[in-house]
Amino acid sequence: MTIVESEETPLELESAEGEPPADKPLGAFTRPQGGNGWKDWLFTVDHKKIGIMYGAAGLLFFIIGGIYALFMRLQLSRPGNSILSAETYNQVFTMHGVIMIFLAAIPLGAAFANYLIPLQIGARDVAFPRLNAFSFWVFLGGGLFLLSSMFIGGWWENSPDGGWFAYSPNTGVLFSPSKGIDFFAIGLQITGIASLVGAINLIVTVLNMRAPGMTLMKMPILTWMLFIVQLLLLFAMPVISIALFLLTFDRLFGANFFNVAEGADPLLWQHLFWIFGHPEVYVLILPSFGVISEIIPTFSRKPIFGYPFMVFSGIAIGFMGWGVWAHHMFASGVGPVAVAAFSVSTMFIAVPTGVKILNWLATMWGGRIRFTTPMLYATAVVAMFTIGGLSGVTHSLAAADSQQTDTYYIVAHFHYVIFGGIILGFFGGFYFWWPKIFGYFLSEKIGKSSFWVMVIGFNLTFGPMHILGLQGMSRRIQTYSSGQGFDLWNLVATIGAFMIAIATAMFIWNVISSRKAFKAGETQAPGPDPWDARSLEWMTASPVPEHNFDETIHVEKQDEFWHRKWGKNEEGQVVRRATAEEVAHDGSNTNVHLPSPSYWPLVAAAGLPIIGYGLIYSLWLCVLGGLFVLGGLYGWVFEPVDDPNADDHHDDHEDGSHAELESAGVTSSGEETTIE
Amino acid sequence: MLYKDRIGPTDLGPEEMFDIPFTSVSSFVLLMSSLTVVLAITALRRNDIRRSRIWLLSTALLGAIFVGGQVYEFTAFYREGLGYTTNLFGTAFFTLTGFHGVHVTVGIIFLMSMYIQSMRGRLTSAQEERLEIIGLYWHFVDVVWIVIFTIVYLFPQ
Amino acid sequence: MTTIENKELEESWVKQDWVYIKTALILAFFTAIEVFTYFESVHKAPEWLLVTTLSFLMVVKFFLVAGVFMHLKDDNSVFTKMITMGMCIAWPVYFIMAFALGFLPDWNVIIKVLFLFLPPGVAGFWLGFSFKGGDGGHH
Repeated sequence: MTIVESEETPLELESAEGEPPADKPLGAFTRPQGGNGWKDWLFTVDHKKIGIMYGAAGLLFFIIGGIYALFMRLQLSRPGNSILSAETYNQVFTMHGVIMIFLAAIPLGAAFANYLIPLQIGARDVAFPRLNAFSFWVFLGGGLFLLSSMFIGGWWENSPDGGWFAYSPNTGVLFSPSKGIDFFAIGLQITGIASLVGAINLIVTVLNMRAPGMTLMKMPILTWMLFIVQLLLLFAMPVISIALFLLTFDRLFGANFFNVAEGADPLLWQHLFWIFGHPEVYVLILPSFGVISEIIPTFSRKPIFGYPFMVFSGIAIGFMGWGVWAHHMFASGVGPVAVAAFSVSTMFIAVPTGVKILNWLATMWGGRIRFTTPMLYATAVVAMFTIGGLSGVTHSLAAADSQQTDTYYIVAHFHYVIFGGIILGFFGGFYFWWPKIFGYFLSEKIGKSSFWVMVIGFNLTFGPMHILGLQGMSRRIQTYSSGQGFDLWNLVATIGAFMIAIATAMFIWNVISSRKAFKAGETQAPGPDPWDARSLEWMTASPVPEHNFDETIHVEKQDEFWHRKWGKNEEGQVVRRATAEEVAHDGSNTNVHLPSPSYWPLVAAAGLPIIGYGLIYSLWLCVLGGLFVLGGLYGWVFEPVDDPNADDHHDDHEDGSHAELESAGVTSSGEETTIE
Repeated sequence: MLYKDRIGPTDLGPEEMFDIPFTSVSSFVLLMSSLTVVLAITALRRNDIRRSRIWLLSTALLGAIFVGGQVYEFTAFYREGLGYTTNLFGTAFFTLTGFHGVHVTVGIIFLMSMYIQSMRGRLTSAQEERLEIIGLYWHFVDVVWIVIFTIVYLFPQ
Repeated sequence: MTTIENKELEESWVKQDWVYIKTALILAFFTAIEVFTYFESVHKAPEWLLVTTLSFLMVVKFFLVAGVFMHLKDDNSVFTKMITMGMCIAWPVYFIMAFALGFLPDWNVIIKVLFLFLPPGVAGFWLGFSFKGGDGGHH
């Protein structure tokens, strides 16, 4: 079902006709070909490679952000400690927050979205492959730009230090004279572009490129949740973009947006930021909800309980998330009417999430549960998120929140939902889809032991913070004096944090050793469907071949793949109709045209951090960066969508040399990748 | 209405600075440029390349007149004492209309790129979709101006 | 090309694009009314009347351009739903924020604003969007 009317010959858009493009349209620079070397990763437009790169980058930033957290915990393990000075501590906790949210959680969600959405809807790639590559490189550039603040101008001199939500006027030039906030504003502006562009790409993909027969209500829950996330991003990212522009202009050009002396409202930043910020946290959690909505049915051998309720509660969360933002501002003087209204709306938004929790439990109830590593993680999410959600409900009572705000009780709440909800869910997703993506199993033994280390460590870290918060320990303080009763739990939290670090290291070890074991022939190949799963991505070979599916899949039911394997006999009992190997495609049909790689997205993306440095240091750099962007965009626009040099019949092979010129007029559109 | 109670009594506020008749003319110019770009697209669809080129050039020209009017307005305000950093009104006004002007300029660059492509014979009815997308961008710029003109300029202060 | 063919070509493009020309004329007319309100504001017409008229005209012009020039009304209805959804999220958020920032200090102002903006907004949307100018170049 598509929205754009497809033409008689869907592979040929009219705009592809006209003069056949020269084979070297820009002189010396020939277009990159397909394959698997480092250049192929650099110039790829394949959603799978891009998804893997997002995942790798997200994991790397997660580890960096985690190291920052370890430093914080070391500093706080004893009263009166002096491992980090106050100024440095401010920078460390700000960067920890910014990295974890914007450079770890969002890209990990994007990784799942990029890799799995086209596969789950039975498509060849996303709607705009080059734009997809652009998204990734812009994100990476912005992330590295942010991290570079750590050492530019001296170690820990110029990192942002205003907290991850950077309230203005505190972050204006008067009170934050270092360049840190400039790095913050410009860096987030750049990564914001990546998210927004990616959102548009995936929305068009989901609306236009589903396999025939797949209506919206037959899509897997993961695709639905990710789709809602993209819509949230579409409307929320512009708000933070504006806020960051206002802040940047205030700091760089002397604007008066947050200048109270000239009549500006001191709460303006807070409103703008949280109007973005609250939908943002739903952007963070919904992918994880989607991930466990795939894992739990698979390992309970039951379909998800209440599919329409899962979909509509996701939509409700997305919609209602716009009406609760000022619950982050209960203590900022918005007035009793606003506080009361937002208090009520915040209580309401717990309802759809509760619906989801109950549906997951109902899915597991009565099922034949296998507690594999992914299932352990998914179950942990349900439990941990419930705890975090309950503390969240206690925040919704504005009177109670007046006590809790800016204490460690809040820190406990959001880490339970973020780490317990998002990170545990994503690790479960890693274990679940690793065989599909990379073609080998991750060791269950290491997986299960690292799971327990992680969950116990996580609870040891953040559980005591509830107590600390209610006892009055304020957040964002560099140290505390002894004798207030904080000492023991802080020490416990630090021990827990190091356990989390060990668990993450065990995961990395698992990746390395499992791959080695597989290469040495000690473990079996997983085949297309190692878990007896339900959705379309399991219906092709592992690792997924470059062209995804051998032929178009006609979808008749939700959980289509499952119903091809299992049917019901006359007595209503479930009986097997076919094995996974019989149903799944084996990847042998390589006679498929794929979107050609391109380096223009990389060129255009490279210009943005250069503009960023230029804004902070020298406007000539802005000109240089602008040239990169402009040149990149022009090259991109005038590049023919598909390489006329690429031999149609071997696009999928490792061999990279194709020198034959195609006959004119057979340039098919790679942007619209209907399979036929 | 927007700045009530935020900027004190001043002679650098909206009432004192705006020249509504002048801005109305440039608004009208931008509105008509929306028409010309649509005519360019329909002409291209009919493969009337010559006419599409004429309309394309007119759109770019009208857009340039609009930007010229904005530049004149900005410099006039500056000469009368309202700078970017002078007060809240100056900051907000220049940022909002400045961003809009930048978007119009980018649109003019798009249109002129298409014009050059047309001169080189590369713009035919086969590339109609490309021009249509640029047309949508141009309408977006126009539609935003409709809202800005009404709320910023015309709402009584 | 003979003169006769030229003339036929002349006539036909004006006729074919008449929808757009008609829309542009209406837009110009509305702009003229809007500018007229400026002179009226100097001549002290009541503020509520001016604001209501301006809001109404603004919304009508917005949806005329969006509906006809950007052919939103000729496209798949999903896009209309998306822009409506966006508007339904954005405007309430905007007004809540205006309230929280003190732009709407008491109920009188709130009611005044609601009456000034909601009816003209809805009416303008309906009018601008359902403008029956004919087939806007269906492709």
